[in-house]
Amino acid sequence: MAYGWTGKTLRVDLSTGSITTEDTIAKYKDVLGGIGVGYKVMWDEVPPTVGAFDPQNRLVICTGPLTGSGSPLSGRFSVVSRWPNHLNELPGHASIGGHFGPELKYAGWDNIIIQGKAASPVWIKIVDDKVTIEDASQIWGNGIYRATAEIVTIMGPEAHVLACGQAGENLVRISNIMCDRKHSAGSVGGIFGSKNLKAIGVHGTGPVKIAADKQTWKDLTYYYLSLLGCNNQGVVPTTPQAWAEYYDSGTRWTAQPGLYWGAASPPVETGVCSAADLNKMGYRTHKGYKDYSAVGANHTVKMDGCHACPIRCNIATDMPALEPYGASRYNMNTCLGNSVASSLYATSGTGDNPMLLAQMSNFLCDDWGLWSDYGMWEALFKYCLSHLMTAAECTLLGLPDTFVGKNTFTNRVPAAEMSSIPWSQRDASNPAFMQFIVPYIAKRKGVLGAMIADGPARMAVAWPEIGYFQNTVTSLNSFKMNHIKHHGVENGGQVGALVNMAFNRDPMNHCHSNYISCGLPLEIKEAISNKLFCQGNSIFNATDGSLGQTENGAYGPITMHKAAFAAASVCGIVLANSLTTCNWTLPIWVSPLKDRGPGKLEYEGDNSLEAQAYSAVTGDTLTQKQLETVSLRILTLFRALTARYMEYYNAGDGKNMRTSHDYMYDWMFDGYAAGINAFDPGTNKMDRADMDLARDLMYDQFGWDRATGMPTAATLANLGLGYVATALAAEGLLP
Amino acid sequence: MADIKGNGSVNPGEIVVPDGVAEFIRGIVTRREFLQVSGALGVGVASFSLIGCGSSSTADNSTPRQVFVANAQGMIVAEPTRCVGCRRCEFACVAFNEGGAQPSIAKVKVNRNYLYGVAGAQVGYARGDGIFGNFRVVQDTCRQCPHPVPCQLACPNGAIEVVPPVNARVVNSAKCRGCGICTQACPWEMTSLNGPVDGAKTKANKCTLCGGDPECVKMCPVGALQYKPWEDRTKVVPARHVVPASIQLSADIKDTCNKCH
Repeated sequence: MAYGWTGKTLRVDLSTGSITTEDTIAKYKDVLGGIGVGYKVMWDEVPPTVGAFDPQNRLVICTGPLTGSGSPLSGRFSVVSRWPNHLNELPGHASIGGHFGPELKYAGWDNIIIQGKAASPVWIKIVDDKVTIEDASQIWGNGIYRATAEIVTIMGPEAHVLACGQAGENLVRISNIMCDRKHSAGSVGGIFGSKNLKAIGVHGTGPVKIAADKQTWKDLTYYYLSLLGCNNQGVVPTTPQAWAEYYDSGTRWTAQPGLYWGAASPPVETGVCSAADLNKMGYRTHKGYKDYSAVGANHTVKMDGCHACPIRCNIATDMPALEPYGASRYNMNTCLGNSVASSLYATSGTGDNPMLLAQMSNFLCDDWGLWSDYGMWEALFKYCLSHLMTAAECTLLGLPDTFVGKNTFTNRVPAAEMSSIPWSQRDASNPAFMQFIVPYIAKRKGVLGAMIADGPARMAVAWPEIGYFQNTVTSLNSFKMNHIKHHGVENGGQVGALVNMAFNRDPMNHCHSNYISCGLPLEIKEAISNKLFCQGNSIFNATDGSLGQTENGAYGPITMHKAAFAAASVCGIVLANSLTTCNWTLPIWVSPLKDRGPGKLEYEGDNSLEAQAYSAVTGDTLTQKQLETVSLRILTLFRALTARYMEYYNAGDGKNMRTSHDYMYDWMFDGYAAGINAFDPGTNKMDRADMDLARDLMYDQFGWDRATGMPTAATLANLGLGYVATALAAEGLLP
Repeated sequence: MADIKGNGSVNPGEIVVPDGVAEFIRGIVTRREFLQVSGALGVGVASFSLIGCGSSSTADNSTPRQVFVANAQGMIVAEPTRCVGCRRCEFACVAFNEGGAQPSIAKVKVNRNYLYGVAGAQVGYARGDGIFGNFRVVQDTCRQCPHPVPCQLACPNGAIEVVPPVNARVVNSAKCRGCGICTQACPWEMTSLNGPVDGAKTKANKCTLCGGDPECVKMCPVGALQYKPWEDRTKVVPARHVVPASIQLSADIKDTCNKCH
């Protein structure tokens, strides 16, 4: 057994019932783990001819060397496959937390590669090295809550379960798989369903071995903890506090006197949680209060989160008012997970009602396995109800005149179906509306249910106005390829744009946004970023420049400094999803500690923490630069894989990723009132020529060809991806 | 965290046993005699014998096994309302003692109660404990039982000993043979094996209180674990399982019991 890795990868062929073991180190160490493994499996085994729901498609559940090690923030794992929600099912990944990934490691497995399709519904039972395929006929058709409970009843209380809901069974493209009640891997629920796979239960009793001696590991662990802030690595409190030099209402360090987990019995006061008090880290972020103010504080029982993470970001709520609806009063999730279906309302009401709607959404969506898609389909749903088509739009899109003055659902959904939907409940902000609409989508009912279930990209094909809206309507926040932005141009201007260009779905990237929103004064952040990205501390570097952020919120034109920051951010998330760690908080570029000792700037974090943790756990000593190089290798492999698929669907696209893939919707350039110019204070309006240069500079950082956006042969060779270069050359995709 | 780190002393006056038994012990075994007995044995485990009472032999007949033992001086108190289920306590317990990451041998146990509470998954779980219910997550900690200590007395090898400075009940790995009887004997299932029953390298693990400075307490990010002066919690915390009738005192211990009872 290796340190960090268990050394074993499990392969389950549901068509044949074959269960085999492969050597993780021999096959995958060069790509670390997580999405590195996932994309290598896809590169090696899944040609573009295989669709997401085809039996030959692989679903790769992948941990990394840090998963389960107990290193802070190491509870997450990745899920890689062809992405059902993407129009061309380009390769994609989900990052998911909870306790399932660590438990898989304790059972002795780094990864599970699932292929084939079972003849009838099954679940996979893993107890250490004993792996069996079990009959799931009794739990098929049930929600995730019951599936989990029934499997834990069989396996015992220490087991953890990853399951799809009815949405996944019905091949809904916005379905997920979930573990530990509230942790979701988006869009891949349908792949479970397509394989007749309901769930995976795992219990492990073995170790993840740590190479470092106990004292070294302990010292590193406490050092690591000392540099952590709150959720999203805000490093100052939201209110003035005696221990803190600065405060910023924008961080999530909400702890303060008089703020309670109000629904705890008895209530628990978060109180003052200074940076030095590691026994109060879990109180720093009160997400209930952050998201729902006093109402949220009153209904929060406690915070929760992932395995081994002291930064708790999930709200556990108690809302007895849900019980008359037949819903559980207790629910748990965070951020968008709280509002999957509650976003569908025109207004959410007042008082407790917005939170009531959100928790009903939790209760339903986390059971039926309906994914938020980070808000994309909900935003479209609302727009399809609220926007009345204009004559100009109908002319432009070639739509019939009869569409003018009516909303999209009225135009597209049969009248009988529209009248069967209880819109009055929606208008009244009544939680019962979700009890209708969530199963309606999960079961693909009617035209509306089936269309939503197929996701925004297919909506845009079937109903052309949807694609037009995504390209032009600012409020929809769609970025490109029908996927929503995630910390886009509002986070660092070009930086957020470049980060969102890099992936095939919303990037789930927080490296840049966390840094920008950490709460420290501008001059401190500028000094730290200058050190990190202009002085050789990273493989991503400029000779000079600035992030260009000003106090009034303006962003200057692109610089190499910004491109290096963006490149480091992109590779930061790739690294997090490979090790695997949490990018909702990492990397630790800033810290809550003012005095950082010799060689460190005030409030500087430690850019090498991942390398230190990786080296301590695995015994394979790497510097941060070396680890960044591995991260760039994984990103570049992903790039090549994406280009291969792009080329298959539209000849020429794979040869020119710069224009076919790395674009952004027009609303980010044009969706502003006359007189507002790019780089004006307070605007996020972007400039096309500036973004062209931004792409050039980021490609330079990655060693990719400026003209095509594809990795060069030299870069592939330098990254140890000679086998990729050979294949790309044969496929005509090498620049 | 209260600092009640032990100083190595043992005060027989703190021993909590039924009054009649205590009186009997004091009558026949003075503290002086106690020390003399220990010193006379001189087998290199004097620190253990100092706080032991009784002289039944262990399986290998090389050391006296403890039967009557002094109370622990500290205990770890868990507060389920505060617990956020991160399991960093399980991590610290193993990482900084045995080394590595292996929750199955952690001496503080959260995982088994995390999803569905102590009662487990069953009908009505949505209103029960755990994160699929009302979010109450119970952290199981060792009670550091007073005499008669179930795991200690059930061990056929005398491998569970009372160790200063805080008199924690500790597995002596040199004596432990991995039979797993202690895991059955503890009503709260607080001991665990690091391998298969009777495995060649299998040893039992249980809470040592980290010598009075518990790693789990220091690691908890919400202060849900506290180190406190010992109290007898065995009468008020419901047992987690029924100790099988087959788990009985070995004959040599019974002989010693007869001296007091």
